[in-house]
Amino acid sequence: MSLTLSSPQTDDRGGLRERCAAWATRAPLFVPFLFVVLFFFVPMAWLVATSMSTHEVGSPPVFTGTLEHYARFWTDPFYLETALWTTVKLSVVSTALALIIGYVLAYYIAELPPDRRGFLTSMVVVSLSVNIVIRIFGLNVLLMSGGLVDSALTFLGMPRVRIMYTELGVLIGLVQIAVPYVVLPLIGVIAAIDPALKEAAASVGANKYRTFWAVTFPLSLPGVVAGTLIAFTLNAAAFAIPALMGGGRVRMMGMMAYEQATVQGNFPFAAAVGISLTILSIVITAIYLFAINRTFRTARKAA
Amino acid sequence: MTATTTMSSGKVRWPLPTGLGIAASCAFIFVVAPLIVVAGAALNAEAMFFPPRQLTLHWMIAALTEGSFVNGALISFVVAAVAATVSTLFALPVALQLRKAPPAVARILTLSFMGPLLVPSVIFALALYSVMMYAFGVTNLFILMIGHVIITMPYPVRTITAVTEHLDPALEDAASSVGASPWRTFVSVTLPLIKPGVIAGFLFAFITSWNDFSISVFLTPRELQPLPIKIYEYLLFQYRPIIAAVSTWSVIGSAIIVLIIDRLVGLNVFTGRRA
Repeated sequence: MSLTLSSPQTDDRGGLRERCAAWATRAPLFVPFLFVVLFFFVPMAWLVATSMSTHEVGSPPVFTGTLEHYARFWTDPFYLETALWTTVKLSVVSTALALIIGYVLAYYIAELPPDRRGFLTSMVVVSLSVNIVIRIFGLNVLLMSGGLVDSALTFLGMPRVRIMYTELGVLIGLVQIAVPYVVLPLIGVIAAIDPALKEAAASVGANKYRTFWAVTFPLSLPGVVAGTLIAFTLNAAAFAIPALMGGGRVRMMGMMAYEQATVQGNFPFAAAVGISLTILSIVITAIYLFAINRTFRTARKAA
Repeated sequence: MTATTTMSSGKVRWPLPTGLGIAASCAFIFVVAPLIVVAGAALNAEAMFFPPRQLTLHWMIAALTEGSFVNGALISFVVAAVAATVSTLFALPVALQLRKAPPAVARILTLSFMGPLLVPSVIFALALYSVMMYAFGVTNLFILMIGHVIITMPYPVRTITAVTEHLDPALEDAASSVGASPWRTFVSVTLPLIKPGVIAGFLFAFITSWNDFSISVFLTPRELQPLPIKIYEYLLFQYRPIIAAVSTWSVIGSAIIVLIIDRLVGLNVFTGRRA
């Protein structure tokens, strides 16, 4: 400011050059920004518009601002029970199960000496990087009637349980796909916890369980949140898993949107289901983050 | 820590680590089971079983000579390579600007580039598909790549941002104070410092694209199907050991890539642990 008053001329030129430099460094930003606007925000806005359009068989949707498709989805008990409730239930339960299974594995790996973590970690990464369709296919072979799990249950004299093409099968599939996403961020977070903290807890007489719940788990929360958020978002939108493991009987919203669009050709209804799913998933995520934040803060206050 | 406790306290404490060990083994088996089963099923002579009854490598060889699967794998690879490269290049300036931008701008940028993570990918695919069908009436490989760039971009943005947070601005200031141009500063100072984040971001983007199913199922042109879509369509209608063999090759490919990553940059890029 003082510079402006003393020598306006030089500053003007300097300001111009600075502004040019600022533009030059920011220019590379415009391409990706334009790209995201054009290919993400415009299509999403388009989808919202489509969901409020009138559908007539054989002609493109006409925007009329109608909410009939939302009304149809949110009031029909059939859709609420088969699609909405199934989606919420399966995605929440599968995320919780994936967290338990993933936490055990991540904890075990993180407690190993660093030079012995390699094999287990790399197998988890391989599992993550193998296509979801292939992993579901493997689960199919394992769980189909006459497969290994089926035979083992029969051998042990357990009652025969149908797994494939039931909700249980879809749940197993969702958990299987989600576990690596939970394990990987947790390994880093748990391994980074200072062992001195655990030793301190032990030295004041805390047993292993107490040490875990009072020290390790709270400190690993960032990893828990990161992993479960990815797992939940993926599972809520699951499409290949219910399609291949549900045999058309277990209907989740992502799959329903796909069918409505490509098989029925009812784009407005598909869009309404899709937007509903998006909002639902964001709302559940927000509630979850809020709850975690609150518990975390009260825990810290209590401590 | 675990070892010392168990050793010093004798037999009483043994069940605890063993319990964790058993639970962790079960979890590990659960994670890798599908991969092992696929490999086992590929070695079957007749129908698909696990464990296999009659062993043969016939299907493993047949899978390599069946043109359509090899094509599918090539298409997947090209799409993933292009999408990961473009999204990493896009993410670079974004992540670098995020560090310097005023909070309001940073918030808009974060929301814009992380937004795709909040929307289920099937739904984004549906949106892009309906716009493209309206605009062009067809989909092609180019549109598929656009979709993949959008869904993979959050990963490099995040990994690079994570690295730039620990970057000392003094280093860049030092470079420009001795007269280096912004570009020169970027290439010889900033880039080497953020390299781990860039590589990790690229790899995550590549794997996400390679694994993607929901975007591809909407935007894939009939004649150029990536591998996952080919396998999916096959699975919907028939079960033959050849599909297990194709999958096994894919698993082997993934394993080799992971091995290379481990050798080049270490698996820390996946666990987010700074070595």
